[in-house]
Formats: sequence, C-alpha cells, structure tokens
Amino acid sequence: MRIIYYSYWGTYAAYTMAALHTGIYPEHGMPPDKWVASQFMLCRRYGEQTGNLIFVGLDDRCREVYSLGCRQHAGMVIRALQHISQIFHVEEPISFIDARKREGRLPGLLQTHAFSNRQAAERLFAVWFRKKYTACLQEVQQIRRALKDGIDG
Amino acid sequence: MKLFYCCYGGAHTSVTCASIHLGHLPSDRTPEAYEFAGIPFYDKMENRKLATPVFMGRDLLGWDIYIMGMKNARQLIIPAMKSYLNACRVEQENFLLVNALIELHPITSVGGVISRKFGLVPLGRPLTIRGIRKTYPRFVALVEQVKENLRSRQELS
Repeated sequence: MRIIYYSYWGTYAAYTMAALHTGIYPEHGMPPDKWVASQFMLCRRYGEQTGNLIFVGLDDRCREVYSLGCRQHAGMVIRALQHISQIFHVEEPISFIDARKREGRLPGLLQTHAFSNRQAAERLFAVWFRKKYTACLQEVQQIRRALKDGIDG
Repeated sequence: MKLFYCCYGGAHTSVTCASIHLGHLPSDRTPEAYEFAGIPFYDKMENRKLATPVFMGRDLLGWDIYIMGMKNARQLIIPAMKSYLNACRVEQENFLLVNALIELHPITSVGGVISRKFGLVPLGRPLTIRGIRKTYPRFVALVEQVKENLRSRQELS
C-alpha cells in the first residue's frame, strides 16, 4: 500500500503527518530544533512545487509514505491518480489522507509573503509547527490504527 | 502504451484531437457539423468527472488513446501523475501527455460554457462545433505532429 498525505501545500501539515507516520518525528515530545529548521528549509525550497509527490519514508509495515501538495484541487488530483492507477494496473492500493484541516492559515502567509524575511519566517514556522504538532500526532495515531494493510513485522 | 489528450473540460478539444487521431474525424478536410454527432464523448464530460481519463480507442500503432479534462489544474495534475507513475516504476516511455488546449475560436469557449456550465446543450453544442470547425486545421496539425512523434518513438525502439 502507498499512503499519501495531502494538503494545500505538500511540505507543511502533510509532510509533518507523513514524518510522524514513518517514525521520523518522535511520538513523545517535540523533534529537535534543527529538524524543525530542516522542514522550514524544505518548505522554502519545495513548498511551491505542488503536485510532486515527496517520498517521506517507509512505515513499520513497509508501506511507502508520501506527502503531496494539491492546492485547491485535491479532488481532481485524487481522482486522476486513482484512475491512472487502474489504467496502468498498479496493484498496490493507494490511501489518501487529508491533512488540510491541520494546516491552518499560516503556511499560506509564509509561502506568499514571509520568505523574504528569513529569520521572522523561520520563527513563525516554528510557532506553527509547535502549535500543530500534537494535533497531527493524534490524527496520525488514529490513522495508523485504522490502516491495516501492509507487512506485519 | 497510453496517450492522454488533455484539455480544460475534457469535452471538446481533447475529444476532437482523439477523434482525428483514431480516424473518427477526417484529417484531410473539415468535417460537416453532423459528423460531430457520431463522436463518442463529444460535449459529454460532467464536471464531477473532471480529471478522469476516458478511453477513446486504440490507434494503429497500438497506443491506447485517452481524453482528460483538467480545468486550470493542469500544472498540478500532470506532475502528480508523472511523479506517481514514477513512484510505481512505470517507464516514462509508456505514456505521453499531450496538451490539446490549442488556441480556440472564442465561439467554442462560449458554446462550451453554455453547454457544460449552464446545461443548455441544444444552444451550446452547435456553437462549439462551429468554433471547432473554424480552427479545425490546427487540430489536424497537432494530431499529425503527435503521430509523427509516436512513429519516431517506435522506430527508435
């Protein structure tokens, strides 16, 4: 199974949830500051490249986990990928997980306005990250329990 | 091997290109208006089915021809499709995405909105046909270019 976390931007909530799902980010406590800074750099460099799947890692059941930015066209992107999957006889099922409600408004502001002032943007990103982390973690834990498919370890 | 003609609504331009490609419409003359009536999926795509690839047929070189409407999300859906197929280890040579959004006569766009958005098919469809007939040589040129591309790909392989 392939698991795709998607939201408006692919590098904020979707990436955070995917990183939590794969175990890159810890379940107990916050990740170190330099990891948060690394995600900020990811947003800076690749935030605008919506539509490209970002491979985040494998989870404990060897499922490939991705993040994807869909802007406001999530419905069409999902439909396209599901049908393409059938057309090319991709046997592995895909699971799309909506991360939009965990994203909030700050990522949009950062993407469109704040990157010109890097220090301020980085601080704002860190604030956003800490604020959303617990909610993302709780949702990922629920999702992981709900998704049964994969290779049991 | 799959070829996708992509356009805005998946109802007119991509269908016309695919029909020329498959020989449902002539490539040596401009078809009469009644000839469009026999084309499958012409002016039929529903909004809720946008981004769904629709199979139109298989050409003489063995390529499966699909049409696809992407609204204004083309620059999002195309990379998503390509990166997904890449992740699934599908060879890039096995598929081709063709932009069928060639410069249209304004009548086609007006007819398309009337027919697809407002549901006034008897009024909008003839307008789309009239517009497409006016720019028909451009469609033929695009399809010829695509076919040439496919032939050279086949020769190379």
